[in-house]
Amino acid sequence: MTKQPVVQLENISKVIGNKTIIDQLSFELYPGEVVGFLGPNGAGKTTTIRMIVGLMAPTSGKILIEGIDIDQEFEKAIRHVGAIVENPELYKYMSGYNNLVHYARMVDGVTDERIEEVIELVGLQNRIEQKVKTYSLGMRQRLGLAQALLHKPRLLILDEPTNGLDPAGIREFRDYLRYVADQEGVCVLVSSHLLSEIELMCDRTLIIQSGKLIGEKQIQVKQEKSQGQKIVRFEVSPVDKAVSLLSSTYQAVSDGFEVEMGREAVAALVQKLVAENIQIYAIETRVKSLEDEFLEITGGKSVD
Amino acid sequence: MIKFVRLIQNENMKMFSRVSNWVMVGFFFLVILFNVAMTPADLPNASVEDQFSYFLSGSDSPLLVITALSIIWASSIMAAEFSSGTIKLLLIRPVTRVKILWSKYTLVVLYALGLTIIYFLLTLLFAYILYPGVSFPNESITIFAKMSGLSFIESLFMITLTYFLAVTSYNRSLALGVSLFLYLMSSVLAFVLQTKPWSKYLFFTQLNLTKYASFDGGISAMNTLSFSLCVLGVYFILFIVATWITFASRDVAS
Repeated sequence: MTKQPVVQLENISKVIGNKTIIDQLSFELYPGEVVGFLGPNGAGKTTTIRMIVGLMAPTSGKILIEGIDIDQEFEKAIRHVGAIVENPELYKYMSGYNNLVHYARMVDGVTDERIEEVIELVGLQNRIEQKVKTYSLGMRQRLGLAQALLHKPRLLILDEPTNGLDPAGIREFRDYLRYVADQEGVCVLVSSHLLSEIELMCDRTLIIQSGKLIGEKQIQVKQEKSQGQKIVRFEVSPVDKAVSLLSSTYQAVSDGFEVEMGREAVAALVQKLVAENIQIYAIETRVKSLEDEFLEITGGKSVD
Repeated sequence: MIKFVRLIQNENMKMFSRVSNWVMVGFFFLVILFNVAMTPADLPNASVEDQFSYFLSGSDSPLLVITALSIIWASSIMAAEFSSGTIKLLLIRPVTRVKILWSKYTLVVLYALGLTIIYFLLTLLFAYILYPGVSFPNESITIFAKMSGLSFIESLFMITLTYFLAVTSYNRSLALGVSLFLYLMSSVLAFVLQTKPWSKYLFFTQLNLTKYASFDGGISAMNTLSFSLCVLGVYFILFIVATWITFASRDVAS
């Protein structure tokens, strides 16, 4: 990619006390992509996000937003960022509209029309004049998204964004993220522990553990995936004999085995098994999910 | 600069959206009215001028309320953002932390100033309603104006102290408790420590400025209005710098 990255992290470290929370982390995010940010609890996701938005200062390293050093020119750099850090904490004693006015005043060039536009976008027209304390969690999420989008950011950071949204809301939200990424070239960084959700909405995932980047993966479009390697589960008897015929590595499961192979290889293996008089009860293919890969990469380890 | 004004506007909107603020402002007006109601209707053997003067010098209790309300706001205006978590959305705007820090402080100072001016005008109005025909201006009004002004300086100092405590400790109860205690006990502490020569350099022994309204000199040369202001001024600068440094560099991890 030759595009200028929206965010660049260069060897970011964060040491609190004598504990290294983030260790030499570097990555770049580009316009128009939705990036999932994954990691087990305590891996440093929130710390990384807090450093990108300037709530925490890195111990060493550099963060550039649209090429501007956040430490040198904070106001200019942060102008391009919209975010929800953890829960959307809003002023409960004010109306939704006043909450937006509050944030609009803090950035130059946000007009009243823009406020109306954003309200319509998140579908809060009917309730915007009411106090936020009367809102449901889903409505607060929508208002949180509205404040993040007010100033048309180039980078949108969302921490657990679909928390509290109903299925229809999640669907709408996903479509909306795709819209801003594809149409307006916004770069979206989504941190979540709901892997299936990340898989549905992201182009790419970054996986961190113990403050280090340990995996990076492009999520392919579904059709491409089906032409690649799949996990195929065979239910056969006798298992021992069948396994001895395999040339690749396999994983034993109850009443059979699982192998990773291409489409043609499946047919070949079936023929082989039949020729050896092995009973085949079932053949299932399944696409390797992000969850499998996540556990594979992180080793399913606990917090340390 | 325009941005700073907009930040103050924001803080103002938040302050006046809270029910607790209206309760406090209501209480303030109640104290002013109470003060008027408690005035003796007629003092025998006293001229109208004397009664007018007596009324003005005796109506200082609302000033105490103003300082107390300012302390309450100074302790909570920043701490509330932290306890509700809204600080995270506030600090990720294209506005430096320093501006946010001083916009909140400025609003509390303006709040104290506004209440002091309202108090001054209302009390004067009541004085003329109760004792019509007194010449304007006169000497008791000058003393009354001085008293209100000095009381505002007390409030300003207390706001600075409380804000410093609240921002550095993130603990609004601590800030509120320590400040109110020092403010209300300042005369007692000054009395208890009067035998110690170093005690006059402690800010809380110099907090009672309104006593200088009617006379300029003190008991000794080291106990004048200018001396008190110098002592408070040094502490004032210290608190401002310490507040500034702490807030500008701190990680927000709540």
